Amino acid sequence: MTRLLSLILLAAALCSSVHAQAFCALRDPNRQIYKLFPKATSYRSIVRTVDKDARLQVGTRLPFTLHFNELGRHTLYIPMRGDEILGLVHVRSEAGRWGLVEVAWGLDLDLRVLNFEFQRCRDRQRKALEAPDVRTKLAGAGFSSLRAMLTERGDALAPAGLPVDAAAADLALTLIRNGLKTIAATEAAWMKDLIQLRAMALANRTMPGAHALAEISPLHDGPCLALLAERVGEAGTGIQRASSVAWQVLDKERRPLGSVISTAWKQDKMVVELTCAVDREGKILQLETPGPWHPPEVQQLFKQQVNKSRPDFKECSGPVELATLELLTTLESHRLVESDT
Amino acid sequence: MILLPITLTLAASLPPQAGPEQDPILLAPATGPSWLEAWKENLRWKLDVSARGIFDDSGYQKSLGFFGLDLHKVFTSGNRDVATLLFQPYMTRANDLVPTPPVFDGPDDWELIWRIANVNFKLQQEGALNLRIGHFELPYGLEQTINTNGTLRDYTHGGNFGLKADWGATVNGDLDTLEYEFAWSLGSGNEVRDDGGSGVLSGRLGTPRDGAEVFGVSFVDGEFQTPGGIVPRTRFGLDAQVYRGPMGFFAEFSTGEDNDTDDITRALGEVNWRNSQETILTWVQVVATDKNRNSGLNSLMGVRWEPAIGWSLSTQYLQVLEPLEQGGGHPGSLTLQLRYRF
Repeated sequence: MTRLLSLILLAAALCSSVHAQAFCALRDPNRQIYKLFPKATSYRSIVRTVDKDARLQVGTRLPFTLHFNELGRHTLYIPMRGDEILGLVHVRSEAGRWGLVEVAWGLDLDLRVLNFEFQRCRDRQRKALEAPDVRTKLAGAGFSSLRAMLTERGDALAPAGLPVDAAAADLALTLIRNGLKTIAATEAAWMKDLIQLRAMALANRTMPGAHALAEISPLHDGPCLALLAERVGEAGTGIQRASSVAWQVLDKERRPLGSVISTAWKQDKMVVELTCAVDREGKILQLETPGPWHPPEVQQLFKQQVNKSRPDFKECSGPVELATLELLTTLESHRLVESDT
Repeated sequence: MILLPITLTLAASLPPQAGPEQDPILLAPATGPSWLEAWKENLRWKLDVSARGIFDDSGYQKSLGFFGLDLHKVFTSGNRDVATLLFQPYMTRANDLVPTPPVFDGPDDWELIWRIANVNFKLQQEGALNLRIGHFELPYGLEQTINTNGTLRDYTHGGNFGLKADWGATVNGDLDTLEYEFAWSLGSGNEVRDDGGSGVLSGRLGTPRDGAEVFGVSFVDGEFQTPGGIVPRTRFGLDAQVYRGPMGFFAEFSTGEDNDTDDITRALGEVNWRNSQETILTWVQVVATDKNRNSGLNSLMGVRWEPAIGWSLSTQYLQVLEPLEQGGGHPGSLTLQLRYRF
């Protein structure tokens, strides 16, 4: 009997948090969303499944991963001001010393921390983590910066982690681990949405009146491939066509304003994400390399393509120019930009 | 009514059908998800099965079985969420259930029981004003913030009102430092029925439920439709939750009248403990009732363990320390429940 009891207690101690909670317990983090984004006038939910593949992906980036109870349907909130996307809010829970700690993370579209709010935290050290110097330290931190705040094994704060005293170290560790899992899980389960949100944000910034995106599918169809072969050759330019997505940008009356293409460019071992906005006349309005991790010289080379249109690439020879020509040609093949031929 | 969301939900689990190829330029302005894709968007659903056995100290056994759908869907329009649907119909089987709650036709019966089934419309985007229409828990006391539908742990809705949820409408919302919900409902409980009562007004105003200390005031005033006829009931309530470490200390106090003649005062105290993963919850409750200077005292202790994804095992022991009415049942009973959501 004692052995049986011991086994039950051991199983209870080892099992991860697995809640059979009904959906009536679900509540939107209203207060947290508007605290994190005070300029927001509305928000919309995107519910996606965080599955075992996402768990594996998180596990490859961190020395810890999601508990099985963290799998399932979860919500990413998109705070808006009119048609403008302000960022993301993702709430995740983490086992703390005194029960689950639920943290609402305010992130930008490149998944850098803007701010955080505890949705539920019954730890007495909560106030220490809500101090301005902790928030300042976290603001702007992306995955790598947060990761550097933990030891290699991820089981303690690194010496230059967060400015908290020893009593708050446990909660600080819980917070950072939660933040890392939040960013990694968002990237794993909402990547397609993130690409579209980044495209919409770019359209908002570059095309006044932008209201909606309409995806062009299939993108690399027969006519497109034929035109690309003619303009940039069969070998390609390093643009990863399989991961390319393009949209027509529409105003409220569904009139086209231009287009946005999102893709990746591979050169040797370097992969650069690209998001490019082009107007109806074929002029590049903006060419961004999302994420802070690309070499500055490469970012600069792509920035130099802004305000160019296809005739400017007639004599192009460099890899960046060729890649940019491929983007414009792809859009032109779908009549998203006006052709001069 | 029950078949439509179930059919839509099961259909939503099928892979989408590829549409015909269209000119992307023409497609672009007109494109949009099909009705099925739109229904699947922001949808959660689970099936929920549980069995409950009740054993009293005379050896008498009775049982309940539940099989239901738990569905949650957020509707969006453009850049904003506009409404949330919560839909929980449960087929419920009673076996030898004596005394028999009025929702059943007899001690052995099948009944469709609505737990929650409502749509909450956002009237104001910051969440300060929403309109809920459908079947909802009466906004009163601890139950408002700690939902006990389908769990053994329970609070005072049954004792105070004879029902937990009712059909009607509420206004509800989150303010900076308060949350509120005020309702008008039929007073009929599980069924939509009008026996001539004027309905029930209820409401609760409280501090945010996620804090380490949560306080609320609530009221109920109205005419409830019972098998014995219309029963006027009034209650005024105070509730509190204080969390310290892994412990929770809860209290609820209610006072009011039934039938304009019976003075009823009820107090509930609870101490609970949960592990850091919150897979184990234990609780001890004491419920004291005074009705026209007759007093009753019950104690309950229970534990819930969630050993694996979707599984929940619970047990609770009720000891009647002082019966409110003579001959009101056996002094001790043990309840066991196994629940699985998938």
